[in-house]
Amino acid sequence: MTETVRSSQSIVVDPVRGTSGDERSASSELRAIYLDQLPYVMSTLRRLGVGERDLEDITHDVFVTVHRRLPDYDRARPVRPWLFGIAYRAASDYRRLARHRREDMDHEVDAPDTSQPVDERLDQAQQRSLLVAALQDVELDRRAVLLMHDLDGIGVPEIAEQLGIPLNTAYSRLRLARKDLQIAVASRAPRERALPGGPS
Amino acid sequence: MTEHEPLDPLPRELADLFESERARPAPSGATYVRILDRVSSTLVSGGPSGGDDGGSPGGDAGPPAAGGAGTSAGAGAGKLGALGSRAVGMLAAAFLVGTGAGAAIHALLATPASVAPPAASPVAQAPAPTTSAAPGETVPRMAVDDLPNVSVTPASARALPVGSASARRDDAPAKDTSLAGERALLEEARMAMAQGRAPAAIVALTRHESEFPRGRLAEEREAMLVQALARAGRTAEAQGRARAFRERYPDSLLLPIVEGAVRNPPAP
Repeated sequence: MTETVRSSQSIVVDPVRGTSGDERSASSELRAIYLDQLPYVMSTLRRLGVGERDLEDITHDVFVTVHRRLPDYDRARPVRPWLFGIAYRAASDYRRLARHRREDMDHEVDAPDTSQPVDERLDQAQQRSLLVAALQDVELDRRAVLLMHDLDGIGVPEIAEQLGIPLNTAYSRLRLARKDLQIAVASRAPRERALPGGPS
Repeated sequence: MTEHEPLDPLPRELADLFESERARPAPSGATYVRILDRVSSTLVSGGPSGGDDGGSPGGDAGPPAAGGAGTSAGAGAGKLGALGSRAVGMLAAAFLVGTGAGAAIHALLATPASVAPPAASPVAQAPAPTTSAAPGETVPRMAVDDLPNVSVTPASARALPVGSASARRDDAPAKDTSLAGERALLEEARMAMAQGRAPAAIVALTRHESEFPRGRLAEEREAMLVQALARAGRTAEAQGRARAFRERYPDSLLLPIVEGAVRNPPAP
């Protein structure tokens, strides 16, 4: 039994399990997905390295693709991994352009004040900026596994299936991604507060 | 190291960062409206799209978003959006894009009366990290690399309805519908529209109607046909089609664009 809530006129998309699968028009379904999942798609694209100035463009591309792929989408399956796959491919294409690969996320990063411990000086916004910036140092293939697992809560076997990679590879990428991220965060964080596994 | 070896717990510092990221505020109401407006326009007019492969590079994705974050309008809407209300988003739409388009987008967003409003931090709803799926959870099996090229609907997937939310099952598209064929015809029509050849678009769309009267993309076809007819100066036909569209797809994402086409016919 899903947690999907259904009214007489609309359907709320369960972020994990997807839509209820009830029949309705494609545009209506797209709208429901859009309203529920726009924050997720934009956040995912940002984490995958899409710069702020291009974020709306690529988000637009993702939802146009979502609309085109709706006939192929299995409503019994969760919507977020499916959306992640589309966003991941869009971000990969975007990153292939040299001008985007070179893009730095520094414009999003507020340089931390190194005079205080990290917990005190990084508010949530700064933490988000730090994380997004540090994520850019993690190879995209590894980052995808990390995001799906550690942020979206998708199991490793399912990630392996979704990304079409062996299970061991998925585990390996996750471990490596965590290590890479620790190092990247530590390099941006206070020198007096190195993270475990990161540079001391 | 095997797949059975449990993962180490996530370091606390990383867990804290992830928690902050999950709590990222939702986009402003203006952002919701702006992107949705562009998406719906693309679906009908065949403007720049993400293509079938998951999205084209950002530089090719169409005109710059109106009212970007750096504009005063965007900034103002951002403040409104911080209130986390869909109503605020609709007000922002009316404020940003003017009465006509604002009303259309208002209707667009307002139609699904019970659609959950954008939560203040929807991302926070993500389930806690686990190393396996929740019991009973079904998981997509489609590889990412396969996404752009999938043309066969999985047996377990339901066909999309031709009609509205209340469409009956006997409105379901015929099983032998060729989605690839449908897409090719609509793409032909989009290209023609983009090149200002409305009559050629009408030919392609009429052919789609003939070959796929109950096709999966019938809704898109009808919307494009209204636009093409209006653009070709066949106003009465366009209005008739628009009325039929409104009746058949009362909650369509494309309805505002259809109505806009007959209300303000595009220049031939």
